[in-house]
Amino acid sequence: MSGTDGLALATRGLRKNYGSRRALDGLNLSVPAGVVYGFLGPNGAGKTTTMRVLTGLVHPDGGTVEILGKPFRRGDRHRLFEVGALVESPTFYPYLSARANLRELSASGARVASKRIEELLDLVGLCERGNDKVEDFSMGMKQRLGIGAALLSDPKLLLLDEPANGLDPAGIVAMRDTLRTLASQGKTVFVSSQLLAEIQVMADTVGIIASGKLVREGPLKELLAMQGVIKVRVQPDRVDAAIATLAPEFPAERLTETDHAEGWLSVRIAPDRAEEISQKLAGAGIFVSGLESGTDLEMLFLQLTGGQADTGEGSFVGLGGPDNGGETAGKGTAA
Amino acid sequence: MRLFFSGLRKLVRRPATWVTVGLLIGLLVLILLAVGATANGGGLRANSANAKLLITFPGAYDRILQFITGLGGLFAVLYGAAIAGSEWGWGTFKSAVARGESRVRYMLISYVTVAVMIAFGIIITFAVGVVAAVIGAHLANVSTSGLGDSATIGDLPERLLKGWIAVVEEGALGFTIATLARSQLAGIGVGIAFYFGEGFASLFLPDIVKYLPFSVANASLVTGSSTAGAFAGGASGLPADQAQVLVFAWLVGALIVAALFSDRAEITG
Repeated sequence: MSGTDGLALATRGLRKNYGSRRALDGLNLSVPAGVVYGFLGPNGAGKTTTMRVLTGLVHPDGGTVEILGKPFRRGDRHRLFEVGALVESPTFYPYLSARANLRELSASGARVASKRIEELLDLVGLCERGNDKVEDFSMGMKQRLGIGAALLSDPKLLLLDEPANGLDPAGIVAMRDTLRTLASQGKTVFVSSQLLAEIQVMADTVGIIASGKLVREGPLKELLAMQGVIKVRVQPDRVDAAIATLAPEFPAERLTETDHAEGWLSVRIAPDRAEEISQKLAGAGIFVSGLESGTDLEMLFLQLTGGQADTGEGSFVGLGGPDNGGETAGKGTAA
Repeated sequence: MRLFFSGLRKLVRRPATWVTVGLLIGLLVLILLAVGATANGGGLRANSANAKLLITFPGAYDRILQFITGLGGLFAVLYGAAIAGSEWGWGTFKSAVARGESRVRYMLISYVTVAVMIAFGIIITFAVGVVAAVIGAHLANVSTSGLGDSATIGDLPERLLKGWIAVVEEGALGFTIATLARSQLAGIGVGIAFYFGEGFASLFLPDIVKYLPFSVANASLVTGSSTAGAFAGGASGLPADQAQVLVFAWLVGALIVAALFSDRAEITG
């Protein structure tokens, strides 16, 4: 595979069909080593299928996968000895304790030192509940145990599918810190999530897929720099005049009236151009009474995925009906 | 070996293991004690004499074994199905695969551990059954002088071994069916249907059914002095030595199917 040096994980032209439905359509991922990589996409975009392929649960119809610099083909199960994974929901024997589950799971795959189980129970905050049966655990506790299970072999590459599912806010913060710490130790953390805000504060690099294809990938800071939002507040009766002033320079798709009654406009440009906007409006005799600037992963995500993905799964339209995608996006622009 | 001992630990702590063996032991003890308590209490003399055969040694050894391999065969189907089905339903097989474990090895070793538990179950049930038969004999004032019959006791290890192989073969069917269905419930349901369906079909198609798994399991246990017993499903139309070969073939065949399916399957649940 060419051009994959320094990557912890790479896919090239990955294809997977379920019957007539195309789940992955030539997916090319390049996950650098030692980062937290946020893997984003709408429902049915192919995130979980990608996870399944990367963990050998399903076999791709085409394309290649490289894990930690070596090809991962059907039967190359030893590649997974250096990989930890939480795919979909955490899975355990309900009648066994948390400690026993980790112990029995460690009997498969790579060898694990017994003290590692205690370290992990401590890490995920289940030391005191380690002897309780998993069937008595809440969803959040199972999720924590699932993260612990993924870390059993002290993996170099960690694949986590929606790891924040069911976690309380403190648990999410702890998980985020843990993943950041792992990345700082040189491990690579590949996180699939729908929680864009969470990814925005956690990930170094993101990849966004839609309909089984990668639509954008790169360092998060670089992507967001291209996705700035400036939100301007003027007198409500000057909104139309403000739009007329800015319209020659900013096309309609970049200029949105988000709340006429309150006098808010959104302009999608780099945040460092806020002063320029303010000057332009002042030059036309329109004075800015409020100004916010920033970047937003949600906006980028919606823009790249078209707001709603054509996934065959259907999508959540919301109370505003099927036309509200742009409005919702507009309201979400203030940082 | 890690996987093997892990499998044993999982089964020892699994409620289904103790429910299955407990139910088998409970039914056997209940029957033997009930026979002992009621054998002299009236009814037809012929029935009473037949009932007493269950608690009269050395023949009681044979009948206890028939019970275990007969009803125990059905329980083994259910147990095998429960173990394999839960691996798919709970997603624990998925977790092992995602850790780089060999799918084939995982499934085969899982069944080896089931077979070991079946062996323990047979031995424990047999031992408890003998004790219950002795108690039943005392209750019915039947002599237990045949308890130490050396010829019968000498044959017991071989008969227990053959019984174990037959029950393991039946368990393998449940295991494989649940693997194909990826479900405990489906595996158990289909396993029961096959068990009784084979017995029912033997009324109409004996020449075909005698080669089917439950029938060959029964036939493999028939000796000069015994029959397959009233608790067995299927038919028993083949000579024992031929049936034993077929038992082995069904056992190996079922496990090959389970292993191949597990190896090829797309784990999407």
